[in-house]
Amino acid sequence: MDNNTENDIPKGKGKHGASVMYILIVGVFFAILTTVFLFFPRSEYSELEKRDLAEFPDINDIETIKKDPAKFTSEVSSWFSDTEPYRDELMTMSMKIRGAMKADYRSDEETISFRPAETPVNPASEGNEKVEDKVKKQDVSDKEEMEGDATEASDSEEEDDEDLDDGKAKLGSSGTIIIGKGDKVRALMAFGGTAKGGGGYIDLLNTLANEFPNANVYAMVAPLATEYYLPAKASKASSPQKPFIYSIRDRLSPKVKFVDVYDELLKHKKEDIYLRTDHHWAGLGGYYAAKRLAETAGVPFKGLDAYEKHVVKNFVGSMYGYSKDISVKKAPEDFVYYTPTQVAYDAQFVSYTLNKNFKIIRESKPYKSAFFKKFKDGSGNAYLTFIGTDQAYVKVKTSTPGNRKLLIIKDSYGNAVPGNLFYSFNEVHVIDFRYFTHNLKEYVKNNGITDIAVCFNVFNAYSSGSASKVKKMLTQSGGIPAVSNTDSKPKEKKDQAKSESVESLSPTENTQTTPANESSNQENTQPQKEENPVTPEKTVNPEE
Amino acid sequence: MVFSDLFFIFCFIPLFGLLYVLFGWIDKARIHHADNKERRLKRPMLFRNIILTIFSILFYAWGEPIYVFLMLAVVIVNYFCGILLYKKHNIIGKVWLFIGVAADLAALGSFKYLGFFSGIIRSIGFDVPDPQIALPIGISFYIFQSISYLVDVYREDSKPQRNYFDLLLYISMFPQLIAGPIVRYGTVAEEIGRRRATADDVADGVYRFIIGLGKKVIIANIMGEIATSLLGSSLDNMSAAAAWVGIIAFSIQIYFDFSGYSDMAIGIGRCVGFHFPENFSHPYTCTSMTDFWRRWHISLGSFFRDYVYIPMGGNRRHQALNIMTVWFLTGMWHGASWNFIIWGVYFGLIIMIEKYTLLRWKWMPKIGLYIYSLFLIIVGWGIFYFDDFGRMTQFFTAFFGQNEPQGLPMHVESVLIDNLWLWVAAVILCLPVRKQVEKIGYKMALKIPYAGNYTVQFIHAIVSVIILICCVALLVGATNNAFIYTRF
Repeated sequence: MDNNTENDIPKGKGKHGASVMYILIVGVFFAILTTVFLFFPRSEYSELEKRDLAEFPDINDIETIKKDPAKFTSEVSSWFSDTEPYRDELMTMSMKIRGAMKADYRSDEETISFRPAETPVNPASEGNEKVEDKVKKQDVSDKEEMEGDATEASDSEEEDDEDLDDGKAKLGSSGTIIIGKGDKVRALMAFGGTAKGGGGYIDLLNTLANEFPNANVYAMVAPLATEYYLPAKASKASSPQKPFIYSIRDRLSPKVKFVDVYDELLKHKKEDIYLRTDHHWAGLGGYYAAKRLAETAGVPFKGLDAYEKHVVKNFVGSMYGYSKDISVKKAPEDFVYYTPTQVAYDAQFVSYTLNKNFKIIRESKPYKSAFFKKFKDGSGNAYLTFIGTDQAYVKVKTSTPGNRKLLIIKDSYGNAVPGNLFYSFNEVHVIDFRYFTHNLKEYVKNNGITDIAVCFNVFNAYSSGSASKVKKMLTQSGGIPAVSNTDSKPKEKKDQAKSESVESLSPTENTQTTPANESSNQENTQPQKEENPVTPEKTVNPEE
Repeated sequence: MVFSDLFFIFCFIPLFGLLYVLFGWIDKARIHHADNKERRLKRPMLFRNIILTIFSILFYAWGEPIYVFLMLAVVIVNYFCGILLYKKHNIIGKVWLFIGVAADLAALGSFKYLGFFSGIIRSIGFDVPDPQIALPIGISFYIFQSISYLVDVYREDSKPQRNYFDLLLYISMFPQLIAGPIVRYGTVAEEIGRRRATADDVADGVYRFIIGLGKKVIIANIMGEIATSLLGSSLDNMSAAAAWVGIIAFSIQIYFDFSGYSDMAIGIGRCVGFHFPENFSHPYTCTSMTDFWRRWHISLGSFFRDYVYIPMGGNRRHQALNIMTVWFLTGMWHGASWNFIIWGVYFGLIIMIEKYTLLRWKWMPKIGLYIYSLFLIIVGWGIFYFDDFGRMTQFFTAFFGQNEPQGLPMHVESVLIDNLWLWVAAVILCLPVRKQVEKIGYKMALKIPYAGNYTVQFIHAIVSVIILICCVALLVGATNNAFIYTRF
């Protein structure tokens, strides 16, 4: 393959003409590609990865460019490759090429593929974004379909800087695992934690129990689908979650009530409690978790016959873009959710607007909107059915008598839970652990909350950063924190420079995870995340 | 900027190509209309060289907007030293050579090794600050080219370059600027002033470039992903299979990455009329480590041979010392880190032992030599890969089967089966199979009356288009795309 410069083709008659022909064929083809890449409209949003693509760096910001011209040029390069015309088509093709390299002789049961977590390198490359973010960006076509036409945002979580600093809290996800074949394909996320983690979560729950002696405090930890569906022979790909979840139970103060979601889901393992193509559980999984919560809380709970079943067909969730595995796309599923029919409820939203750096810059006035949003068939964002966004807190008044008022502090897994508790509580309040600017003590007092549940998936329960955000809510004074556009810049610059030079070179730098402090955290983020080009201020509040 | 960047392929290349062709016409017109013959012959490549130099500077500045000035300064120093030392047979020539080489090495030393040495000094108890200098891309390559220029001029193998910009062109020429091959000044000195790129050259160059791109994007990038997934995370109690598959994936990655880069460099060079030296010759089919280093990164090996090993006395005087010096420097060249030094010394020792054993044992069956060589190469990459000794130890513990888990873990099986055809293709392409196939193919094709060459080139065109399409698709969302050797 080497050493053949001079002798590529032996000299013979017509060599010159043949070379000219070669140059013409390849030249014309290259010219066509170049024309497409340079002059066709650039992609702005990736349907497949469910995210906004990179934006051209700000060319007027001379100061920043002067400070770090290399960053500017690399952003231009990233922008160029991120926003290629026909990006999704090319991406699909790339997955097909990768798929063609597979030797496909295994039976359905045996088929297991691993996809390592991608090392984030630049803002243009996906993978440095949380799946969470990707899934939340609503596609335009769905907009009219949304009953509540409420808040829609390119939803990305803000990361507190200290979380990034402590290094313990978050490390990249260890990857995805694809099991099964054909329409049975299921994409799973690997968990890397050990039974020792979760100290922050425990501390949070114990603190809440102490702060609110008159309220019931519940710990709810949602396992990942991996725990129930990972074949035994692939068990090493992901740490078991059971020891972790039950060690949390054992370490909680007796004042905290542990909701055994793990056990409840195990009983219903054979039902569709998890989405196959999304990183979330299904509506049914949230239903069973809510059931266990209601049992633990000693409140009424209705069977599924009191609910209406809805189906969004041809759903392919976040795991397609995340695993980059074509087989996930080829296995669409039904997104099923249930809405209560025999109870009246009324949801009041307060939504947040974020700036480019994911800082909250504005809070809306309370407005009424549908609790369940409707998505049309084929929409990849159907998990947003529940509440529609994370950047809001919601208060649902129900016609259920009594004075039990529940507050759920949750991550995105928790979104699927409260809709099943309208028969159980007189009021259901939902606060996202990332977006709440008021003082939690006052909120609990003012609203007469009697029950507080902290519903996290194992990633967030593991990460001390997630819990510390909630803890901060107990002391924060309320109102919108001051916005600074620059505070994340220096760090990001450094990370960028570092990853530029190490990239594929010393993978250990980027992906090394030591089990002791590992928290493969899907919900959380990686340092480059601030560069994540989500359009700022997209939250639309109909009442404003 | 890297060659496998879409921005390079679809912005830089088309713009450069257009302007280069355009100014080629201007050059020709200029010569055609020149009033006197002498002037006509003087600088036939003037405008094309200007374009090439400008684009080279842009190419470098795109990745290193600040260090581009370092490169310009290095060229100035070498420019004057080159002129001053030429044909000075007394001490003055030596002094200028010394100054020039010392300046080059000082630049390399301070930007590449200062942090490393300050770390060593700190570790023995002296409190010196960490300079925190980021390594300028490609500095090891262009500094070595500068040294080769000075030495060649001193030895009167070449004349000094009297035109600063032509010397700048030699040092900065973008095809080989950031990751070689290390082109000797003598190799291209004439071509800087006068060169031709025929249609054959361009066709071969383009084909070569596309083959290199394919090596990088289709094979090296995916193999790199596999290597990272197996070797990049916790190595605690990893299985022997994971260690082996991981390091073999890395071995394949680094070969296709680096030889792909060299192919692309040589290809672009061909298109503009330069003939760069070959850098690889199927290194994984070597029969000894001595042989390996004649086939791997040839331009670096021959640099050390001609500028260090032979001047030190070669095999005539203290050969062992010469060998160890060369391999210590080879290791050191790859980076300011102990593992590279160990890696270099490792090869030095083996090569020395081979001199007295293997190379004299004519009875060794060839297959044994292949296995022996591949094993040592792979062990070498194990040293090369881990710059953390703790992890290196963990790796080799697993590699030599000292860990509990035996058999084929799912993860490893998945990596193998999910990329089976890639593994097969990569292993085949490590062998000189393509060369053989092409040889036979050309022979057959050329028998076709009148259309032989057309058939060959048509097949090349189809292959090129397919590789281009695959690369463009695979480059969408590619995250780890930098070439390994640009780090050195």
